[in-house]
Amino acid sequence: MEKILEVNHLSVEFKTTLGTASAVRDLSFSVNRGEIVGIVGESGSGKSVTSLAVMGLLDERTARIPEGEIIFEGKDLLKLSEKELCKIRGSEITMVFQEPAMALNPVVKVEKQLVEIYKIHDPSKVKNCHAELVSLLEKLRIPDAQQVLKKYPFELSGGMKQRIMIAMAMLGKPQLLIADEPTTALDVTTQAEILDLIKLMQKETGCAVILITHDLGVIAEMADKVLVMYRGQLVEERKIEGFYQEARHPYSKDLLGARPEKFDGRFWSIPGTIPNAYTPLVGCGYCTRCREALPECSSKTPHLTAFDDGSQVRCHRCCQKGVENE
Amino acid sequence: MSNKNSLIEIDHLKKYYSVSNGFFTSKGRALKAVDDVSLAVERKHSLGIVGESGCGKSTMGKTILRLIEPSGGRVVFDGEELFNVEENHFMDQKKLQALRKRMAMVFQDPYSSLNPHMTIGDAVKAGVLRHKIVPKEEAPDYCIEMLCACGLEKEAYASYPNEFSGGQRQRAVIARALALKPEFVVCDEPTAALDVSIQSQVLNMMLDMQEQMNLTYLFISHNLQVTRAFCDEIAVMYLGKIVEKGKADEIYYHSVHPYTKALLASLPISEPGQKKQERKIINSIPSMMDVPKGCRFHTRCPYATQKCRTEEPKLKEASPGHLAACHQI
Repeated sequence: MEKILEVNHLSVEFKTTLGTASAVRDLSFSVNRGEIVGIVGESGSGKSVTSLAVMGLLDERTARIPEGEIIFEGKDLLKLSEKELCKIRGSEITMVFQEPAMALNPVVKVEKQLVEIYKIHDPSKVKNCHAELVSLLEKLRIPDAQQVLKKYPFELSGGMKQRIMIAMAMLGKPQLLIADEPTTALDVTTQAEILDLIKLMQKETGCAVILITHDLGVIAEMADKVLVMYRGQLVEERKIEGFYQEARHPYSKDLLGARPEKFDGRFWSIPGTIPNAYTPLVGCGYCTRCREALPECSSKTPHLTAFDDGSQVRCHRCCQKGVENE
Repeated sequence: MSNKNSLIEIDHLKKYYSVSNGFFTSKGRALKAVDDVSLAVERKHSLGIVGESGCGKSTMGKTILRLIEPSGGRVVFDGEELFNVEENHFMDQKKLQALRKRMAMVFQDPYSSLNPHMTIGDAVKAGVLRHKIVPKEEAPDYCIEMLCACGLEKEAYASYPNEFSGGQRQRAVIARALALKPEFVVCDEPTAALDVSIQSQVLNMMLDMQEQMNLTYLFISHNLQVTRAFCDEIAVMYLGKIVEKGKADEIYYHSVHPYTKALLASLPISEPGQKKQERKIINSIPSMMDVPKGCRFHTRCPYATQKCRTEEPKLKEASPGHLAACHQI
């Protein structure tokens, strides 16, 4: 399989008045063409920062990328100029955000916002793109597409707005779509529809998708591969088959167990909370909350260890059997 | 409806808002946020209210506690009538305030329900002093005890909300509500803003407190899986009306109303490869401003017949204790 995106040893830090916060630490993963990769983890585990880094949308005043490379179709995105990045953003790589109400401009009509994509990436089509837009919205099951185009975002429901965001992402005919919690703000019924649409879009354009969510149910439904992140590190990378039956990292197991459908008189919970990003990482990041921690976990840093089935796990306990990777 | 064992009884509760049609017309249309809802919650039980956003769940919770003035119906709390709009009977303010300490509310967003200028301790203490739960000298110790019972550290007493994470704030909000030793707690999406792992911690704590303090919960949520696990009974709400209610497992596993079925079919699968039920729901939720005639779900229902378009179904028994409002039953 051809790799479309390869992230190598990426680290992201934020310099604030409180000190240096490490949001992403030495993260490596790859995305194959046409693959759906799910990233899960609690808030504060670095999922969104990773996606923003790939898009080149981190605030340069505070964020720093001390090391790493992001290779997209042979080019290192971190080395490109802003102008070159602009050509890729919105056409080859597009993004759907969590809060469609915040991502759309409230004072510009939907049609104008959609046409903007053409203006930037395909100016020749601007004049006669109306019919194309209507058919695209109809494909995304938006009733009354003609009317919707004339509306302002605030006149639309949350699900409709998210559909407009997906339409915007589709217009660029991307190679890679990043969906950052695309359904978190929506009702279950709308969530199911939006997920269907993302699948539809993926089938139609053959694009790869990075799906960021904290809902393992969504991952189960959509993804081919899952990356579990904790404190900015990759703790488990796994093909979707097998992950739900026998996750290896204790954090993955805890996340799976904490789903409400696993309730049996008591909710399975993870003790404590995720430490903030200013706390230095010593030993295993998860050892303070881990039920299976060994004495060495608090001092010795675990490395990612590869398993026969292509998965990688960062844990002292379950990697005793595995083969050292580094 | 009346049951000796129920702590709170809600009879034909209505809350209408009038929405003006324009600047020059004085006449408005009614937005029926809660339309003729009857429920009863048994002592030490939890009743879950589920539905999509905008179906009137939160408005109902607030109206029951009279945080919003009702437009119709009657609510009886432990034998005392809080209000009866039809007979124009409203409990007088003094009595109501005394009763307030027995009914508490936990709001969804722990970021906006705590005053950022007040320490957590002061926030909890305010209610304790107002209702004279313990003598003034003992109040700080009592508050600390309460915070600890809800899983916070002693130091939380002197901290400000901004020092806390979402989960800790929600614990503080719950501690504040429970410090009044209430019997009835309305929880409006208490865990919607939290991560799954933290959600589990908070829900476990709420279950423990229910056991210790003999609490009765009205649990408002859009998450059917959480509600099924947490509650004894579930009522499903659609556009201001209850469309199905019954024991939690009965609703979860043997739902009869097409809307409940659609909600359940929309849930993500729990393991890959599982077959997802076919979702038969159409379109999105209509506006509260023009609720469809007849059965209000017929515009989205795959089984709708002519009867559904004209005649509004009443709640009827599908099996003992399991009610649903659908003509197909």
